[in-house]
Amino acid sequence: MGNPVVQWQIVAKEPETLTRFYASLFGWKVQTNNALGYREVDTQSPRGISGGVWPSPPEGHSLVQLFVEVDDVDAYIEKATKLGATVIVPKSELPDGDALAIILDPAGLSFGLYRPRKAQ
Amino acid sequence: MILTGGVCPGFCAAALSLPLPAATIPTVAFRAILQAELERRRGSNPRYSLRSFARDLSVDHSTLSQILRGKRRLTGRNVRAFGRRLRLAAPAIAELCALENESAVLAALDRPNFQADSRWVASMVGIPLDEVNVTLQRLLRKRIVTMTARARWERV
Repeated sequence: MGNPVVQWQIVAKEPETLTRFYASLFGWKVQTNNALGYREVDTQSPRGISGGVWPSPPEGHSLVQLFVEVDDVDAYIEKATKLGATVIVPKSELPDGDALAIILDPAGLSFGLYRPRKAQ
Repeated sequence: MILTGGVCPGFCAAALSLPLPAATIPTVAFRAILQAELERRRGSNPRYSLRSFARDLSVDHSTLSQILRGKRRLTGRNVRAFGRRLRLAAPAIAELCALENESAVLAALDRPNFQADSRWVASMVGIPLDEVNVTLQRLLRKRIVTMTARARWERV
């Protein structure tokens, strides 16, 4: 299946404001009907990938992350750390059944190792 | 396209720094800082009272009394307002707010009717949803909380 980039995520200091900005600019649809109140963004196109918006802590800054789909998050955490990456957030089983870990690559960029529930 | 897998939140690094070290909630909560400051002021001025302190913090004295006795939870808004009055540095105030939120979210996790739902936590602790999620992210990063199953959020 390979390991596709399946989602982008904007991490924003003012998530609501930024969500409104992109929704107004591109007509993207946003829904938060999930256990975390996560702002899921649908770009309204069959092409490309959709994303989401997550709040940044006050001491953080706004950024964009990419999530890469894997079939085994733990295995890829091990592989990534052997290659010089650092685990920021350990694998978490999210309320809706997905699993996610956030990794810092050797250059300092963070990304997600993501296993959707359909792959279980 | 929305992922069929559903929700996929980020839990990003706060400032792309290295992971926070494993830790427990610090025992020095903001309440203790307030209490120590009150004692310090009383030490230099025996006539300085709780009412004086409340006046200087711009808060009702009964509210302050309840906070100091642990009968009322400190909110992030309280911490920010009091912190500024106490002339604490902005980063220190932000960290103290975050720690108060951590304590509140952990208390929610301990409730017998706990629901693995950020909105439920927000309603229980009285802080905005985004702050709950930021706090949850901090607790995960610090390895204080784990999500080991879909609806299982637990203290380590």
